[in-house]
Amino acid sequence: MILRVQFFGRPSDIFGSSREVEIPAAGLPLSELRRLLLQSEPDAVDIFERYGVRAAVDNQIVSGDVLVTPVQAVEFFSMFSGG
Amino acid sequence: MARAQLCAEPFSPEALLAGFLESRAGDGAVVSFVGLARDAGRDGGVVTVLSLDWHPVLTERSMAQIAQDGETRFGVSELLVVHRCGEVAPGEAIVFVAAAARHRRDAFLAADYVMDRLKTEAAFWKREHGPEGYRWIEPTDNDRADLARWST
Repeated sequence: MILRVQFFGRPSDIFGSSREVEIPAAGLPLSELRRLLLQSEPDAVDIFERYGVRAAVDNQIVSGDVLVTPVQAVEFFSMFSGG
Repeated sequence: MARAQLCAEPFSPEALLAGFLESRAGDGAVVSFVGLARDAGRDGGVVTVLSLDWHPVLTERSMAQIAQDGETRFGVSELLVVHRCGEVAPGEAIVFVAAAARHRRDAFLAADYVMDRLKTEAAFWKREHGPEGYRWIEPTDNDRADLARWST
């Protein structure tokens, strides 16, 4: 099934505002999703490491690994700029 | 009462302040702050537009939390944060903060505290656009030092 991942901040330079990723219907770990994304765009590895890219699932910032499914809202974003 | 609003269009700080000043009979002080978009970046380069990307949920939530924390910490009677999102032209207001309190010190401190937290913790992603393209903006060491003042 297709999961539409959204990007904010520096990751959007490489992935655009969103990217569709084929994942199992039962879901997959967030860490695995991150690995798939970086595998598809190796230039993003440096951005993820240097700019503290984090993830949010269903509008909650996630620390650690969680299972994500195709029906969830998943986003990756670099550190906040502040206002 | 703490309020935080995202605003996709230019706003009038004067109008916001006028509205905030209404029905303030119980307060002895109102402090307001207006942040403006500059026409030059940190390196002196020309900035034609400032883009503020925002998250449909996290951005307003982060603003609301900061406003609530400011109100609670300093016991102000009302705190208002209005923040632009999208594209902002130089000279336009980016942020408006107002704090009302019985005494001036609490109002000054609350506005100062809220701005320091907004500068580092608000969920925006900023880009300065200029003739050479754009560049992302992240909090500076000064911004972090300003925030650290409130950690005690």
